[in-house]
Amino acid sequence: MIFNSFIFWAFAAVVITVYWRLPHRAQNHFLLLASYVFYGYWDWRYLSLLAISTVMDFYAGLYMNRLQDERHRKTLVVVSVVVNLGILGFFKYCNFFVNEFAALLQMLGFQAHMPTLNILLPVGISFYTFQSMAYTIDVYRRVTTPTRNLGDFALFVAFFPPLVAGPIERSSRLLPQLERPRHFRPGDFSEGLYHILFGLFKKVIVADNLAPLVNQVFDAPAGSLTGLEIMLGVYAFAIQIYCDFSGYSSIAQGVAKWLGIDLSYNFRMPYFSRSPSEFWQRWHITLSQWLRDYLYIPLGGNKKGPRRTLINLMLTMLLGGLWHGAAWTFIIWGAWHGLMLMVYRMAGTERFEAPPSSRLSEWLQILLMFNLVCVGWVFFRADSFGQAIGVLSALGNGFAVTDFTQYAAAMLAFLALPLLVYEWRVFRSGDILMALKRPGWQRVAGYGYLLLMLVIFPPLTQQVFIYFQF
Amino acid sequence: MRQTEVRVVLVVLAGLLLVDGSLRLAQRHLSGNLAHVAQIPALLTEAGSAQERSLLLLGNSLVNDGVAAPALAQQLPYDRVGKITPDGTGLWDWQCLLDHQLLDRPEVQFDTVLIGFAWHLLSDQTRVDPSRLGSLFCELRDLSAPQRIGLGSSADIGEFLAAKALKLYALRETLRNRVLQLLVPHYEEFTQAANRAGGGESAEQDEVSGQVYSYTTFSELVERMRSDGTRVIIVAMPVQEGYQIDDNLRALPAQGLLDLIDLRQTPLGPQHYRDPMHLNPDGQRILTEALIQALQAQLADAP
Repeated sequence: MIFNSFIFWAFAAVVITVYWRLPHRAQNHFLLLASYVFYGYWDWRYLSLLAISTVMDFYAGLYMNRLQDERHRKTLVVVSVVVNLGILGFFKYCNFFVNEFAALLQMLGFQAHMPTLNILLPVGISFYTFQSMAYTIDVYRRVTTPTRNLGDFALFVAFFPPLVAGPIERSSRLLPQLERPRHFRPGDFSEGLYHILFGLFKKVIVADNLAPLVNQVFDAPAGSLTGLEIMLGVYAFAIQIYCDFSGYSSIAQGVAKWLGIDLSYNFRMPYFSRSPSEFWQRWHITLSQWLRDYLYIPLGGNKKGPRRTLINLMLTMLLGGLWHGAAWTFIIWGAWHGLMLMVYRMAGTERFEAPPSSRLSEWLQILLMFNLVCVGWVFFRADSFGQAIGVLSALGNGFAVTDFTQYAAAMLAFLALPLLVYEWRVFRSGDILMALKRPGWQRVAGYGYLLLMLVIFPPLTQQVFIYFQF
Repeated sequence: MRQTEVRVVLVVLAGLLLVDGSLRLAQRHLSGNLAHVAQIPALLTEAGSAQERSLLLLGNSLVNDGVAAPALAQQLPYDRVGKITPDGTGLWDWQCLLDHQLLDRPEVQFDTVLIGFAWHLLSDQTRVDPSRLGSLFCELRDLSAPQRIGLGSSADIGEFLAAKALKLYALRETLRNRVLQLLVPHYEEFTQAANRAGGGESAEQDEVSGQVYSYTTFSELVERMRSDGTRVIIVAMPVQEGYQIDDNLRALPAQGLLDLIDLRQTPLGPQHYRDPMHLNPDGQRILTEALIQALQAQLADAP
């Protein structure tokens, strides 16, 4: 059941209608049931994994809170982390490591016939595992008080809007909202509507319509393309993946808002960043914060000297890359971002955190950062390291204007330019809900544009969300 | 705040309905195909008079480009010949069209219905376009049995309903192509290339290796037409690359349900085609002559 499907909106309409007619406790039970139906619609067998993580982390948190002995508390949190990562590792990384091990043995001259399993990746497993695992770690660190209600905790893990592609919510933010009675507040309708329409526009109109263009570039032999064609293809992918992922987060936020629940912002105009650290404060924010709090800081963060800081940055980004999938291209993508963070840090990050000296210098810094991020996207999108290198090498094929470059540039302008101009204005205003404060006629024009585009320009074939595979 | 937003939404929806209403009025001017679809009820009423001998030619652009109806009217023993050939259509569209425009209307009666097909367009497995069914050919009541009109998933049903309710949505491909052809250089060329790479968008080219094709829906449709006193003849149309007629379809004439005319081997060369599938005027002349001869033989053999 994906957000850009008719069945999801029929499901959401029923859930929202029934939900607001129920008292608080019944609302939670009903939402839990709805969330399990939503997840089970893909494959009901994987509901057991969701249930296992839920029950284990709930009781781990509960017992940890009762224990005074630090060693026992530590044992419990380690068990929780190992089981969570074990399930994630088995489903997501098992075949990758088996294949890589077999390749290594073959390289050493051994004939390896390693068994591989036909494992179907449970959708959203990386998101809910991280969310659930963070809870037990927070209880261990005594930064959160464990809930005593299994139903509330199960809903915290399985709450359907962010379940399969985030945002990855913290227990300290989401659980209290689930535990107290909720009311439909003034402004919830308009804010939810804005997030939903804007998210659908980003996903259905921008991302899905750019997908065929991106595929045309990445499916062609790189040598047959000009540098300009490659550049436009990579820019198109940068916009596609941003709109695909941030569109999902936005719709999740909107649907949750209509249920009276606030979710975290996962994106804040990331392509207007001037440095890698700013980029990661604006791109997939909840994952960046997770990696910072549960990996980078425990590794020592920036408290153990400059050299160790750089190593910690690289390790964090490498694991961030691996989180996205079991492939070397993701690891290299993570390494590229780690390298950028290291280089910018060595060059003096504070220079980019200060207000820019002029509009021109701000633009140049943004342009440089965007292009560096795009280099990373080549590895992220490519099927193999070899293909990524081929694509990057083809940038040297000259910048001739071909029929395809005219087509690609015009498609990008038609689909993405209005969005970029609007996001630039939001970025300058610093108010992500700027649109809701505009006069009525401007909102009519804005919603009218979004709705007309959604009705007339959906893609020729429906596309699933890219981040579902992570 | 909430009241203002509700007002904003109502104004937007009113605007959308206004645009939709205007489009309903203007749709026949959007393309030749939509104009043709709008004329179908009148064309059938005119050609399908119960008092005269009449023939209906049904198909898609293969029949439209391949057969000249006036030549059939001149050389065959029919008083009237109707030609209904909406673009890109197949079994599911034809079923709704025949059910609602022919079988449901007692005043429309054809002695013979001739259906031109290629590949597996008559099979239960042929691709369905829920938007086209919803907006052009089927009725809301057909949803009482969605599988019967080829709608196999909730997405299909949702698309059918959206197209039924909103003309803007139903005609989105036409509108989209019009706008993007205007604004995007080489739009058609690269969109077609992307479609080919993505497995083809045309129902006419929908060939799946290893697929077993069945003809239950088509057989039932033919039965309904036979009960109405209409003889059904299917015509395998020629295309440049050729295709096989599968055994399950060949079994239908053997059961006495219908007649099959196979025109795939008509002597046509590449010079008679304007693209891999569609005939040019010279090709049309040759194919029409071949069809007339085959039909004369069929009618002479008829009891």
